[in-house]
Amino acid sequence: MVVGLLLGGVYGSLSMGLSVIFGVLKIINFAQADFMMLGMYFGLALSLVFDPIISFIIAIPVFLVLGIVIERLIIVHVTDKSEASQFLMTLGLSIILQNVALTVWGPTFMTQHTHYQAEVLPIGSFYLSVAQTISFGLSILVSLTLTLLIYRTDFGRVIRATVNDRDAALLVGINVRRIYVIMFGAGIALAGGAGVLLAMYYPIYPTVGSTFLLVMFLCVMLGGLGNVLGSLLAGVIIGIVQSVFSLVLPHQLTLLPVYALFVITLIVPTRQRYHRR
Amino acid sequence: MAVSKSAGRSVAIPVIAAFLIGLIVGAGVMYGVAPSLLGTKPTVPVIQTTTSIPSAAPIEINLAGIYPLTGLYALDGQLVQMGAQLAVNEINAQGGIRALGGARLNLRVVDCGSTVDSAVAATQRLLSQYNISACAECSYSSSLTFAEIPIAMKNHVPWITVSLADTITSQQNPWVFDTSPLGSTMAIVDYNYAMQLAKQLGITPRVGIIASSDPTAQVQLQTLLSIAKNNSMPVVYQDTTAPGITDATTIALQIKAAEVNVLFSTVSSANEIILIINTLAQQGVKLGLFTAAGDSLLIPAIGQALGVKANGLTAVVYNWANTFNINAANRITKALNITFAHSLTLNGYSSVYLLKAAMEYAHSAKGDAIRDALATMTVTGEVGALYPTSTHTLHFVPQGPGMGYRLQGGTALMAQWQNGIPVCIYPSEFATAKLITASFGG
Repeated sequence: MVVGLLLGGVYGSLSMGLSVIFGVLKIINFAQADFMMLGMYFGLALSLVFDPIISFIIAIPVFLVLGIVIERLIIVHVTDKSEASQFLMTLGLSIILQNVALTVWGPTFMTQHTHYQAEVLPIGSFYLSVAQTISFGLSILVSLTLTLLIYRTDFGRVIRATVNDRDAALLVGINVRRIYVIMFGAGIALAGGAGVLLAMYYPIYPTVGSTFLLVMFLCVMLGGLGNVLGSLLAGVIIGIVQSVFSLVLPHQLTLLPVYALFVITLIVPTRQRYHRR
Repeated sequence: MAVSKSAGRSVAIPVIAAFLIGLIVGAGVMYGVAPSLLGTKPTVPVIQTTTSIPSAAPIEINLAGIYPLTGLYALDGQLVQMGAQLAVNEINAQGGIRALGGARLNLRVVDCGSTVDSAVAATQRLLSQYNISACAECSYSSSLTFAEIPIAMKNHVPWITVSLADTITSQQNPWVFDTSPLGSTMAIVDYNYAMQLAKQLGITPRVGIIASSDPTAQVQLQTLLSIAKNNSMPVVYQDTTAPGITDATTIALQIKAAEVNVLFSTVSSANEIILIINTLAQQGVKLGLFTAAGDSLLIPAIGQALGVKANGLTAVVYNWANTFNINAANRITKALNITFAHSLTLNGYSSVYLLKAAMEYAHSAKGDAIRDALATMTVTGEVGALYPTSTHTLHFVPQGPGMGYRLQGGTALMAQWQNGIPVCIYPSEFATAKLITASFGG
């Protein structure tokens, strides 16, 4: 259970950014996992000088700016377009990011060598990975901060207004364009930060994002589109389900119950609507 | 009279479309795609006489280098490419294929990725784009090779591969030449030697097996289970991972709970191996022996990632620097400025020399002639020792009527990490170093 909790925290932190972007901009960012990959390389580079926690703090504003630039240059062109255009644009961005990483760092995987990697916290006969525990803790912190920002501040009220009714928000003078830019940047910042945390214990290579992309989407769909805390909770549930079922199922089938849960979640509301008719 | 914009637009679009179509067709004709689409290929001039006829400009012979350069197997593909390209450069510097008037070799490299779809697309693209004479140690993963070899057969291109799965050469495809021992044989060697080592360590083996889901790993898993059963050796832990695992903690905990002290790994992805070993170390799992039937454990990045945790890890491989090919191995490490020649680099290198020998024997660069040469010739001398065989010569034998070929007497070797370099420690006639009994996690 504890293992699942930590693993789920990682999943949740990876998916929060995706949830933010979809919730506000209504864009499914297929390049989200590749920004996470960039965050891993960023964390690796900074690990030569800084502690990973410091790297995480540095990564947030850096990736926020990166996200803002990407939004202003690329995403802005598809914000009001069809879903197919958005899909193609973000998929293209994903391919570009992977190939840039391949060109710059090559296909050879790298690992970060920090003292966190080897350190463990003994709990009885079980050892808790310090790296994963830190990831989990920081993920919770970020999630709570973001939730407070959205639900307890004036800026958060503006964001929620934009999400609820974009046209009405425009009418009352909210700069919707600015909200989109900032929140896309925030989503990318979350991905970059999550990458820095993941780099503490996971091998880094240009296509590492593909390993986590499906789970990220599962977290967002299960947690509710645009619901940051929901994504984190969904991640935790997925991690726990995966870990618990790994005790009784072959490891390769441990995501099967998660997919089943996902399908049930999609079917049940549909049936309820059908019965109401 | 004003001309409407829509009328102008309706004329412009067909003109633009016609121009684009013409451009594409023209490019296709220029690059030889159109002829292959029409069912014909540009032919390579073939010299059939036994004496070489000097020509003003030597012809060029294209070899396919279809390697996974991205994705899960990127590291492995890169290692093969290094060796193959070095051999091509060496052969060209030495004067090329003498029987063909000094014909130069060209290694046409394409990334086959790590999925069957990408491998098929890459293979079809390469074979339609160039007149390929043969494939030099293509792919890596058995699942990718399975997808490629029907295309090889259709195009009459002999396919040299190192894929371990037994079924690679048990299909009706006489164009496949596998330079590795059967995957199941590797597992047998791995088991037998591991039991000897366990005896040396004075431990009563509690065997665990962790496998990945690809065909080779599964064949090796089944072979290990079968041998263990035949030897009344209980397997206290067994599991299969899917590609791209995100966490190995439950695996480590289960291994620890089962008190495994001899762990066999048939996991083929280096990333997963690192994740598993680091997690085993984190969870304080004490193993007497960690051994793998395959070379994924021996890539340089593993040593860099694991550091001292790598010492004592052993792996059964289809090729390694040994007493018979040490000169070639040293040439490779010197030329490429690397610490050691991985088996994939050795095999990439050796496959090109093998193809050179076949072309010299056949006096031809045509796929059919090369295939016939590979199927009948026996290579001796330094080239004959590039792959480890019991006879120290290279001779392929079919695995059945109309089936693929494997090297006669192909011998698996065992290599062990020692102070940052994997060295051959078994069988003794091939060994370049003695076994060390470092215990993992102890």
